[in-house]
Amino acid sequence: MSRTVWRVVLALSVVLGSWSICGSAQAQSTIKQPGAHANYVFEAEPHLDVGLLDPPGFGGGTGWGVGFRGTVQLLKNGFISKLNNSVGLGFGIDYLRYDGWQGPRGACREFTPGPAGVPICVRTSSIDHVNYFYLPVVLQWNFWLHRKWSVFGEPGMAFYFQDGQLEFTPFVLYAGGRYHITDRITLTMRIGYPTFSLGVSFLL
Amino acid sequence: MRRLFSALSLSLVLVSLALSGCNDHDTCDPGRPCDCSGGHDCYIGCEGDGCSPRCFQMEHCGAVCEDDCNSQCFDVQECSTSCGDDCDVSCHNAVACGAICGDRCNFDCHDMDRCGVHAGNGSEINVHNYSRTEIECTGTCHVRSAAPDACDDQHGCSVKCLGSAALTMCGDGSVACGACP
Repeated sequence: MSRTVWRVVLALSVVLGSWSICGSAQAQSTIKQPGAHANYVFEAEPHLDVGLLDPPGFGGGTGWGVGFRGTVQLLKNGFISKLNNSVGLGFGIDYLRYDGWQGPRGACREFTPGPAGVPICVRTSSIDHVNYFYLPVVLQWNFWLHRKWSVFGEPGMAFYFQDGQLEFTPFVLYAGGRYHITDRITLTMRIGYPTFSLGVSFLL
Repeated sequence: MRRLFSALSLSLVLVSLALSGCNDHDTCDPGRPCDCSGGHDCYIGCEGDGCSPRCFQMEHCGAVCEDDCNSQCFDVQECSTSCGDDCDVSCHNAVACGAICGDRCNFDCHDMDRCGVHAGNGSEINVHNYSRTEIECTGTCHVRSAAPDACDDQHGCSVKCLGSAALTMCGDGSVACGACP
């Protein structure tokens, strides 16, 4: 069920994204003008998060939350000299509250002391939510397509807290797009694993 | 352009809302294996008779089930089982294992620092390779111990007969509440 919907979301995003990008590219494309983007050193991006995929670890279901991504621009002109691209290093923190654990994992609501000093659980309940904190570190590669639009890819890794423990996942991947309200303020959407986000970026 | 962006965002939000209503978590049902492994704590509840919960490779894990429950626990720091009548409880390779079970309980605990069980009438208890074992029987029960060969205080093993059945030392080194089998 969730995989099917995930594919629909992805396809929808790609189609709509391509449509918008193609339409705008005909008008005011900046992709072939290296360096023709806002001159900034830091992108501050508060956002809303949604986790549509099961997160790393044992959490499960859908997650909702808030987060912040800060990206330091490392290269104003990125890896492709003929294109308007740039590279940054992004650090984030995201809090998401998921539906519960994957599988039958519940919590003990009542222990009774048993022989040999072993506490015996006599009453359980399902877990109605699980809190996650992600601390992603990503390489952000931006392509400034148009005066109003830019896109980026973000491979990286993340630390995360779940079940009171700090864990590590060596793979996170995001793809995103910005709609430029002004030169320095954008609506920013990000899809990927483990979270999707929608927020506002301030190019400082 | 704004319409397009709004449509895209709205679509994603709607799909997200739809997904949030489809939380198809697994549950433990009678007659089907139900495992919990990895992580720190897991306590499995299973309603109905004939459940088969299994815990492994965790810190704390336990099962709460009803009659005819087959509970297994291994490679866990602390195991617990609470069940009704006619249960099979098996624990091994852990630090501590405890159970509260009803009549005709089969409790098997080995390669463990501490084994403890509070069992009902007609129960069979087997323990070996342990540091300490405490057994409480509310009716008749039979306790076998291997390595150490005998279940007595000297070997860190105690049996309490909480009901009217008397503690009996059997000829083969086993112990019973009530008559030896």
